[in-house]
Amino acid sequence: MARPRQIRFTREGLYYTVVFLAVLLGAVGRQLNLLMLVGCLLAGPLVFSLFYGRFVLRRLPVERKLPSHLHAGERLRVDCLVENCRRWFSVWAVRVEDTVERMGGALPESSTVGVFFPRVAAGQTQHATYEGRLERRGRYQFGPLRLSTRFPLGLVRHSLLLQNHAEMVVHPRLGTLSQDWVRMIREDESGSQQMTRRGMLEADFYGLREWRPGDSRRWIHWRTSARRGSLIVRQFEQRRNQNLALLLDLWRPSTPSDDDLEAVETAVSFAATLLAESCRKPGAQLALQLASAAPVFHSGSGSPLLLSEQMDILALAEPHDDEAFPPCLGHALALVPAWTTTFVISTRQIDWDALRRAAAERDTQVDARKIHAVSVTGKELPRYFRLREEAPLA
Amino acid sequence: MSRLPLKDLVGIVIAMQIMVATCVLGLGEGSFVLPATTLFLLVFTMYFTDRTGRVRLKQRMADMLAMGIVLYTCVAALRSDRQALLIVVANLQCYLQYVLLFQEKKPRIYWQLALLSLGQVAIASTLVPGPIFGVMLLIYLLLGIVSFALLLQASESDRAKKAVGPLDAARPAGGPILVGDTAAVESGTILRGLFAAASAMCAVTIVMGGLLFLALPRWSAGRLETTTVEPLQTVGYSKTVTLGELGAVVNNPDVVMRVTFYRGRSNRPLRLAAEPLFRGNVVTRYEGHTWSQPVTTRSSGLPTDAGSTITRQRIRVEALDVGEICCVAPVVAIDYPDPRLRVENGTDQLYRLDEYRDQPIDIDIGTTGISGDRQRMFLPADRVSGGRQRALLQPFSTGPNQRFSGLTALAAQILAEQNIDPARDRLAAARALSDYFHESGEFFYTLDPMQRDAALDPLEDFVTRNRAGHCEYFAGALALMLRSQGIPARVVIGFKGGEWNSVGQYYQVQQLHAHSWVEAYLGQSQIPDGAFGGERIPRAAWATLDPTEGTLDLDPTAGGNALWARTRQFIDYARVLWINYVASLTAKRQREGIYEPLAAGLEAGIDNLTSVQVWQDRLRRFDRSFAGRFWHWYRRHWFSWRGGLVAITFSLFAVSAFFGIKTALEMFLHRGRWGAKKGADAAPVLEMYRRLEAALERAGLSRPAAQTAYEFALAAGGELAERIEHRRLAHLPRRVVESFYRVRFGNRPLDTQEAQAVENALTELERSLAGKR
Repeated sequence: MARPRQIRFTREGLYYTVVFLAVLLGAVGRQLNLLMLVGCLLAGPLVFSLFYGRFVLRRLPVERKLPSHLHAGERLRVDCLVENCRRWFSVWAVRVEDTVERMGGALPESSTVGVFFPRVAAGQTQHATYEGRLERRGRYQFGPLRLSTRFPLGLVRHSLLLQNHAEMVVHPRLGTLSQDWVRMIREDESGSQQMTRRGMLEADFYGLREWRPGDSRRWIHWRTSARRGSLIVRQFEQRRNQNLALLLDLWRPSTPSDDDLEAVETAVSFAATLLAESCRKPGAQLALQLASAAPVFHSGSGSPLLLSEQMDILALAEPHDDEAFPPCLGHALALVPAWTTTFVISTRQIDWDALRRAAAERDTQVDARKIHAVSVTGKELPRYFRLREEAPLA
Repeated sequence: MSRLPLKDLVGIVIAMQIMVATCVLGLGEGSFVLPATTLFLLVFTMYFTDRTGRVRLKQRMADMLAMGIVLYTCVAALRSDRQALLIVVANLQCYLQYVLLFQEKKPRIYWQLALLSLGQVAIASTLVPGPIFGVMLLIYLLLGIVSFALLLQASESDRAKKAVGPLDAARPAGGPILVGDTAAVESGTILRGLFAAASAMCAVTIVMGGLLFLALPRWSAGRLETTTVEPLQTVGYSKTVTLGELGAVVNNPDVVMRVTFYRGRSNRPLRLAAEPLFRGNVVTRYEGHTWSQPVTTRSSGLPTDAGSTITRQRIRVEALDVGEICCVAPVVAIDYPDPRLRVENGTDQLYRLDEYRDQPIDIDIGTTGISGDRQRMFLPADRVSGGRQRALLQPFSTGPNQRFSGLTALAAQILAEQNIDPARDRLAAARALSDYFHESGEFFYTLDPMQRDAALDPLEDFVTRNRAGHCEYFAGALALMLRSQGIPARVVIGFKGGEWNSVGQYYQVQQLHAHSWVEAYLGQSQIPDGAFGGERIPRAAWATLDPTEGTLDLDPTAGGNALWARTRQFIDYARVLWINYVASLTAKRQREGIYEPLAAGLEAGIDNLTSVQVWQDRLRRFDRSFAGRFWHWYRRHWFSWRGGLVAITFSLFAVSAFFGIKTALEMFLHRGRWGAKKGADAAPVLEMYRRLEAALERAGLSRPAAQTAYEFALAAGGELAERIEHRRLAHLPRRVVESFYRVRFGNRPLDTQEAQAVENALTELERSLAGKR
């Protein structure tokens, strides 16, 4: 356990002390007054350094500001604020070190980063930011903070450990859905439109917009297009069949390879991306069934809050190694309303028979034609989904 | 200056530090080659190595060069004596510094440069004993503190940015990748603050270091200084006086000695009522224009005289080319005879042993020659008779001398006019002859060389024809006149007066204070009553006579040049303090000057706090004071309308004064954040916020009335994040609005860098969102 307050000589401090002692002892031994004076003056900075740090680190509260949410691979920006509560004295050369540790991993994954405050004037608050990237989803712990100073000459390092901890759940890495995926969904939706009692349009008219690749030709508003000279399509709000159910099977062998682990992460990212896209359309019913070490079912109406909750679930999901088809997926199918687009995402080849059996056992209402299954180890995934490129850190 | 990057500034300040160290070493070596070379190389490397990088040594090459230098130095060291060895080592440090100067500057190199310069200062401390070393040391200290505080700032900033390093393989797969940063603070603010902080630290260091220095135990009597200096060529100490020589050197302002008188055993300095005469050599033989000493007589240690009232004289004698010491005679030992000193029998001349010549010396002796604050004009002596007395009458020992007929006639005439018989009243005769030089109005003091009649003896010429000359002519003439009348006499060479330093309470004696006067021999019967106070009358005495016409104005603070004189006194006193309490601090002086006064002060302080008597006195004084009288009045009239009114008025005044001073202080200390500046800061940032709204408006994002600026910024940021082409702009609205809030509502102005960052953000938004909807 690290001591809360530490005083340590730096390497330069040790050299300085050796030189100081050599000069002083030599001077006293030989009774050379002027050399003694040099030695005594060398003592000043050393003594000053020993006491100054203790004084400085008092009454210097530090605060850390974390982002409200973050996805793996995104840029992390953490603001560190140092307030000098004194009325008169500025504080110099203060360094704040923060430790970021991913919790629950098999290997220790932690890093320490420091920000430097050249000067914090009396009564003022200074802030500095550290940036970074958290490569993996999960729960991260920030802290403790270590406040330190080597002022004035870098001879002695005073540090103070502040039990200022914070936790942040890093959501799964997001990706991009391809146009093939969008087209597949549209086709799926158009198929369902024929069955609606409201005819061709399954939602209320919302407005007009320019045509984009992938839009159905049936949505084109010909009169306006003719008037403007470019294709204009109609927009609708609140589509009934934007409902989405995600059944995520996070299987991995009991002795997983790197590829197996990567497959799990890809599946989670794919699911997270689908959820994020779906939650952008308000009103959609979203259900998430997770077949993991701790199976979870979570559903609700699409909103930022729901998205956040489901991202948290995905962020903390641990894979399972049960070879059998997860019965929880069949259970989820029973709960999903009719006409819901359902995706089964798995890290292994989908066992359709098992899925149908499970669905039949629960007397599910799901139309088998609206169930899409994607195996992240299969060849079809790259057609629909790819992970985002990481922006380099400055 | 404030625009200089910190690293450049570190380089400049460390270069100055090196320069100071080399200069002080150059002073010690007495050569300017080293400082000049260092200056050239510093300038050269600052441009060609640090700035352009054109001339730069690789590490390996630098190591080889350093090895070569060390080997060369070792060879040189083998051929050197001890003093030269120091110089060799100091030069080695310089050469190693030169090698380092040509390398790329990293904190490690700066530290090595600083340590080498420290070594130079350490060696210089053994070569430069004067106060100039102290001044240079202080400058070096200040520069050292500033440079390393700056270096710390620069290296910590770099360290923050490199804390986690690049995306390297050493990091566990998937571990956090983090990069720190430095808080934005204007470099000008850093520099100003650092210089202030360094100055404060320097002051603390001086106080702390000074106390430690004074407290560190000394156990040796110590050499006064660690190196010998070139001894002064002296005038007042010479054993011969050749008439006509003095004028060339008499105005030399070199300090010969400093003398402090103390009354008895106290430490209270004493200033004499008249200019003291510091007695040096005694010359008795006059032959061929020259006064000289006869064969050296026997000498002995300092006598102890417990029965007399002693005045202490503490004399610091500079390095001289002679062993004699001028002082107020007669001298006696204090406590025990100083083994370094001897007194010549017969002449009472004090001198030091040969091994203490050519170096400064501090002596602490007593004298019975001062009574109260006046120097006695009589010196006790042993009876002189026979051959010795004849020697003191030379060249009249065998009767009248034709070479001095005029001089003899004049002496006889003066005595005859005053009806004084020299055989009966030697003292009256001596005073009459001495006074003649003052009162006749015919003799003039001058340092200018005079045309003398070559056919006559210079003294005969001085008395009879050219009656102008300096003290040697006056003294010589009087001595011969006394001798011509049968009064044994001798010429004394020494110093008169000196400059009274009112700051340090001592006499500073310079070469220009050299003086000659006369001593006339008196038998016991001729010694006047009261010549030695109430003390025992000796068997014989020497009467001091100073015939020299005119005196120098020895109060240097009088007249129009008082300020300069006072400054000189301060400087000289500082020099004395440096010598006494720094360069030549010995165990004895440490005990007497530091430990004992400290202990006495402590004892007095405790007494002051605990003594019943002291408290009673204090209470009595309080009773008699205005406050006490008020208290007694108050006890009798504890309630009074008038008093209440006065109290209320006073309280109101005190409160108003308190708040007035507080407000004034705040205005002074925080004028950057005050009043009009607040409005001035808020206006630009308000404009910035309007620009933000306008830019977002162009992108189809406008603020609903119900939204605050911050909420709007968050919402707009979210919208921008949804658009692939604008995703990189998503954080900018929030940043601008946070700055806006800070100035508008937090009353904290943006510094230059922050304002620039906001401006950049706005420009980026405006450029990217131009025409987008």
